[in-house]
Amino acid sequence: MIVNGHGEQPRGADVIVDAALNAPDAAGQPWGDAGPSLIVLANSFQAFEEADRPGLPYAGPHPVGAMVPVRMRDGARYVSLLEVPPSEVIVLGNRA
Amino acid sequence: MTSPFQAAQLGRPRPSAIRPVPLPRRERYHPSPADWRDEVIYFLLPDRFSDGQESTRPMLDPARRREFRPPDFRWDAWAASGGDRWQGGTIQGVASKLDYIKRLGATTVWLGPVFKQRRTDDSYHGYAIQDFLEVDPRLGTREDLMALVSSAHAAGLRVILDVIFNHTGNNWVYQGDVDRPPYRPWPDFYRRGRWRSGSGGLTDSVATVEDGVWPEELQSDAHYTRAGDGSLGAGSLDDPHAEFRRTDFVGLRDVNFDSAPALDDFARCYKYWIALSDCDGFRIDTLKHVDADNGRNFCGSIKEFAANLGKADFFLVGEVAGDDRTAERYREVLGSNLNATLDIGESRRLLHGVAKGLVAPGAYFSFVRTWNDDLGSHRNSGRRHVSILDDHDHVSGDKVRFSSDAASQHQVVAGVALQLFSLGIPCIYYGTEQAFAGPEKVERDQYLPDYNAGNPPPDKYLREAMFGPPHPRKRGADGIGRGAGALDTTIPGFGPFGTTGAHAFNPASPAFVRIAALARIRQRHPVLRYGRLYARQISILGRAFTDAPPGELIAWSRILDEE
Repeated sequence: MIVNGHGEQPRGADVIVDAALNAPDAAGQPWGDAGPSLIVLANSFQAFEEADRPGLPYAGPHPVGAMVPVRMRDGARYVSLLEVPPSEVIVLGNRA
Repeated sequence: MTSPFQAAQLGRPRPSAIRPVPLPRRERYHPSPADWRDEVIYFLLPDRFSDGQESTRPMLDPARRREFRPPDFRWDAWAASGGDRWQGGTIQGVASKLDYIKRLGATTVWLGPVFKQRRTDDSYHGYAIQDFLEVDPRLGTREDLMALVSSAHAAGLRVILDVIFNHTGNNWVYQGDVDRPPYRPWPDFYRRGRWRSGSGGLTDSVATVEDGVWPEELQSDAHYTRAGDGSLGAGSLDDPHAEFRRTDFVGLRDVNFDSAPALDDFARCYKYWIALSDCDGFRIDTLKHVDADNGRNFCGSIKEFAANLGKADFFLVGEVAGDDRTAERYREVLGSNLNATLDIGESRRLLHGVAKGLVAPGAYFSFVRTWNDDLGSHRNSGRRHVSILDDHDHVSGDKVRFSSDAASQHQVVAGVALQLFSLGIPCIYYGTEQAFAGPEKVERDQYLPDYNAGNPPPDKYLREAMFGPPHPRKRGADGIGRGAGALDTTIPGFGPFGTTGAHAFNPASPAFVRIAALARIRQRHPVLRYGRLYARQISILGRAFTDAPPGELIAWSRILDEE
């Protein structure tokens, strides 16, 4: 779960994820050749945009269904979240 | 359509006594959910939610709020209307909005108290009961309540009633016609004086259903502590006779549980409502002001009764004000007789602070992770908490909603997301989904000197009327009834955002749309309801991973098995 705690400015960051569940050899995970990744399950900004402007495709970051690759740095597994708009919410999961 | 059960029950007056009456019994009752963490609760005050007449008035656009004030609009009259006047919401009105509530993603309606108040009082909040076996006529009828629960169940929703057994309304005066004498410590007490009558005066005997208090068992002096007016904060939590427990509650008469029949009589009154209405749970008001042993016995009695009807986990959530350790104490002593307590203490203030970027998220997550847990894993502790972002009291902290002074019409979604995806059963207070914020700052500063000011500040700015009544009801008994004659046309209704005559049921509002989308995801994925919770560190611009500071991304995981 990702919430932008800033009410007026977009925020981005790398976010730690569970190392065991998101390892390349994690049990029960259907990674393909691309390796571990998380899927966007919900995006509050997208939900509003699509309701407010029906018919227009959402063009912002992290649309629902997009894959966010799990990376590794200094022994930690993480995902990169870009430009989450103010007070918006993104839910990531390892299963759709 | 009225069922045979309803026809049989409604064809007779409500019982005048509760002990000798066989409680009603349906053929079938609606079962409890497998896990109350599956629910999203929506809390509303019946007088302030809907009158079912919204189609007769426009929908409010907060950006054009000034257009929803008549030329003779006065801020002092609007504020006075909200302070102590019934606005005209009804149980039928609630029933007309079940689709709205469901569309938001809520699954359970917590209905503020619907029981009969003194006909001459303006206790629109419902916490000052005169007749424990009747619905207040300003809100509707027993039939309306039964129909509401039935409709809710048919729509896949549950209903929680708000019950009070710590105190009754101000239904009598002390000897010498004194209303609020000074507190007398245990074991001392006063003698009761006369009853309040249905006309607003005093009477020596209870002659009509509008006099004194009902059912008749509650007319026993022994049922009342009669200790006068003390401090609600004085005394030790360990002392069953502490001042904060024995005092009248701001004039509402404290119940004496040293009298054994009192507990049984109140429990039986509320069992009547379970049996009659088929409701799914109770929110228990002022539980802290009842000692924990009697609280346990009351809850145990209710749980047993409901279980015998087929409600295996009738939901009981207690209001335990004060610090969170006090609530923890009640959860410990009451054990499984109490499902949960309302998170109305420090955790509520932390939710506000984190969601507004004023407090580091770790403060909230470490708080919920350390909930005392004897349930095998911290993931289970959420079932014992109902998380609150806003409510009708804000017993601690500011007396204004989250969205007052929020950065946007959807900033409140950040707080609701913390509720939906953190531990605990989320509870959304009506108007949250419309980002109720009160009047604009310049208006408050100029016209409303009591806005979040005073000691304590008034509750009214937490209780705007969602349906935008043009006018409130007349004072007292003159306001009872459905027609225009019951309305006070000299002052405006207490509509949201400092308006009158426009409703706010907008399913396309910025907050509503977002909350609905998030609630759908919560419903779809068990991990989001049952999973363990881990706060996650973040790295900004490639720097080292650290705990998130205020105003940055708030990140956490829920983990359940391999998901």
